[in-house]
Amino acid sequence: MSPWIALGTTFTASALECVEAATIVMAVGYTAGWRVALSATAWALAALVAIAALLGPVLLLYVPIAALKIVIGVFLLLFGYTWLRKAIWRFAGRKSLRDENAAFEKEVRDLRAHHERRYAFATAFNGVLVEGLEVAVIVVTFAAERAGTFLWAAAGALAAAATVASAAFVLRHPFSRIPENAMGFIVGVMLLSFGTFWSAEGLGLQWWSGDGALLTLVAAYALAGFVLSALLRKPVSA
Amino acid sequence: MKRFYAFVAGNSRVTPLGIAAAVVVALALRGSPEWAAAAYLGVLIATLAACTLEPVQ
Repeated sequence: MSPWIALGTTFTASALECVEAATIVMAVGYTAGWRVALSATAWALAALVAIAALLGPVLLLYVPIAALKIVIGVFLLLFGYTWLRKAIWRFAGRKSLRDENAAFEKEVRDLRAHHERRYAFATAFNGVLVEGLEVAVIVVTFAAERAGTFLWAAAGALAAAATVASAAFVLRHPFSRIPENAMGFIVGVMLLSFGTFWSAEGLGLQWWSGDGALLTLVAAYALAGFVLSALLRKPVSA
Repeated sequence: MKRFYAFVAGNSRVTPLGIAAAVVVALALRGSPEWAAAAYLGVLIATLAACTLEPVQ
């Protein structure tokens, strides 16, 4: 597998989660002050880096490779289903598109109702930790499959975090023009493809063209996603 | 536990069952020719279709 694919997948997944985390951090920054918002963000990021740095090597050292492929494959499948079906529902008009401005306003209302500094810190910390946890697990699974991939996967996640943080610093406003659903669709397809590929290998199945089968899996899941979006689309009322 | 389930499986009841079914198919067809992988993929794609029919969350 090309390390660029790992980098691209973690970059896209991380960018999406960072956009949501940035909305929460900005809400905390504007209502409770930037010191509390940024210190909570730094603590949450440190926790995420520690989780990824500890979990990856531990998995590689102590879990047999076949079992590892099954476990990480199943995790990627579960995450992939969640991402892709949400994107399908949104393309089909069955779930509303995420509105970062509305999410920002809601956070600001909640924070104004609680004047405590501790509540603001916890909001920013939890926001970054929860949004980042899935990315940390994805980075770890890429690392667990092939040792050399860890740095690429981690670099993709960190590059996305740096890009979103820089954009947030410049814009100072929630991101409302990001094609979040299209990005979610792509991440879902990639996670499902890798999850299918690795779990099958772990279970002792053989792919018809080795690593090249990944391209077929990506095409199959993307096609299934488009077909399901079309089939589930709500008819427009006259 | 509920939170963990929501985090891992997005509160879907279908996806864990579908993955379990695919694993059973894979184990039953292990050692068979390459179409075993295609059957495995087929069950997982059917799971995708089934989970989109669950109530929207």
